[in-house]
Amino acid sequence: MDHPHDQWNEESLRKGLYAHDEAALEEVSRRYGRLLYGLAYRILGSALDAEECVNEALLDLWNAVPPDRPKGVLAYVSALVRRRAVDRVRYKTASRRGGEDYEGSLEELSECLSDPEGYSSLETVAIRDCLQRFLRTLSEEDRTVFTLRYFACMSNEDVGKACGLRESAVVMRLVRMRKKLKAVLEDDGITV
Amino acid sequence: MKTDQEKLWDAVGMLDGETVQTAMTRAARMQATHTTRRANLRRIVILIAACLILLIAGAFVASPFMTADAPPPLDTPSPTDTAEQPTDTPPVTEDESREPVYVSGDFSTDIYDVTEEDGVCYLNFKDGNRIEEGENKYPSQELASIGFSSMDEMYRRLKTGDLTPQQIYVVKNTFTHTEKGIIFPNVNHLLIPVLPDGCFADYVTVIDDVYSVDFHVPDHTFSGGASIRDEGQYRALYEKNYTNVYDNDNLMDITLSTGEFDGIPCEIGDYQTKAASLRNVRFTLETEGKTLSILVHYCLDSYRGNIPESDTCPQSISIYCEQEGKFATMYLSDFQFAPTVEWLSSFGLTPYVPSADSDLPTE
Repeated sequence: MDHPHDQWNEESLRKGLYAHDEAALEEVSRRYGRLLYGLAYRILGSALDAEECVNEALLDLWNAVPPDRPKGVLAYVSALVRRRAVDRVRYKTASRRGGEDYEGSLEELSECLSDPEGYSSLETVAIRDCLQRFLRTLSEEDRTVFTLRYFACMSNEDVGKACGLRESAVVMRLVRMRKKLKAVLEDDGITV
Repeated sequence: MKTDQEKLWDAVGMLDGETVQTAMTRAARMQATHTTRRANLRRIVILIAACLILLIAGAFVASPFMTADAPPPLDTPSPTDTAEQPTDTPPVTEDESREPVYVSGDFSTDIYDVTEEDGVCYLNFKDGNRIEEGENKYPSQELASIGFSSMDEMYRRLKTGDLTPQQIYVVKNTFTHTEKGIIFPNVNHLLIPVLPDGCFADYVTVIDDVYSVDFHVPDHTFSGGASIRDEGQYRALYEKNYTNVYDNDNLMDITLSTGEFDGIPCEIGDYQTKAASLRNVRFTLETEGKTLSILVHYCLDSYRGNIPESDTCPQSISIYCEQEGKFATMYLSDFQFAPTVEWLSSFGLTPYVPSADSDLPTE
């Protein structure tokens, strides 16, 4: 099927992916490719790795939908790219170090743990549930700031531009949020 | 096996789709705007270059090299011919008054009026101050205070009544009500913390007449904030947390002695809790018309190993600032260095002045 670009909306994009329409996948690549590349690049720090990572994630998208029915295509494919990129940093790169913004975000978020290098018995899912509860207590703007910094590994300056805030305001909001998150993780027994 | 750090990072990667979709959509829009701006900038640069080329070409065509006529003589006046121009600047007199004029806290907006009485400001909404009964309309939001990204934003929005519905809800439901109105800051007479070089006031939260300012510290060598208060609140906190700091059943084996902090006489208090061995150092600085009562707090030994230990880098510092009838409490933490008396002396208060390059009202 041929679809002009301006006929694609979120709903038709979802339906196209679910129907295994190649034009829908091409539209995802065209519309979000640069954003996804940026996300991968910030984690990996390498243009070649980032490009491979995005291609692999688009293939994952093709294979996963269906049976998956993502509500938000951008969110779904962003998560795929992030997972691929983080796996690559951890297990395929000898130095296990990624891009500057990724390392910075990782270090900041680790402040919420009393022993980042420790091995607690808790599962990632339990931490995720705690994190979701924490995010629900935040304003939408703060949730966006948190997500852009720690999910998408964007620099504080770019987070500020996306949210209409000064870089300094982004930094202070993140400091406050990390303090709160640390307290929430402690209350839930995730850090001691 | 994954470390806790890796699990937390993975957990962030599993955030719900709606949260991620909202955030990534904003990033996509920002990227699109940035791309459009760069394209426009390229067009402007090309246009300017084209105009310059045309100007140069035009000047070359009109120059003596292209015409037979001699250039017209220059007709500039000599410096000695210049008459002295009268000025409108009034002469400065030595006895010119420099006393600041106090501005009343009264002002009005489309949605509320603010009046000052006996030094306290009261806000009254034009549609009434009645607390909204029933279920909390914003269950997932922080309702303790209203927040602004800067002092400028706070001033502009409080002064013009430009509050969000959520902020109006918080003011009506959380701020203190009296028979004269809702307690509110004196927006016409705000104060802003004076900070060490390179640091500046950032995010502001307001609850009743107290506004709290976060500090932006570019090199992240400490963090902190200040709350500007009235004298009554300040004195109560000073007495409880400074004067009577050892009046706490959880403190054990308290030993007081005297010593020096960077050459300044001080009182040293060592004590224990169930979690740690701790030290307080208290002293007062009087400088540049202000009195700073300072409490430096150290963790000497953390029994569970979860608090950084140091007898030089404080765990926290509380500063009680009194300056020409103004009062603020400041709390500093996350120190990466040992502060000096000179550094601590740089904290203070000053009247807030809206930025010159904004559209902020000046009265």
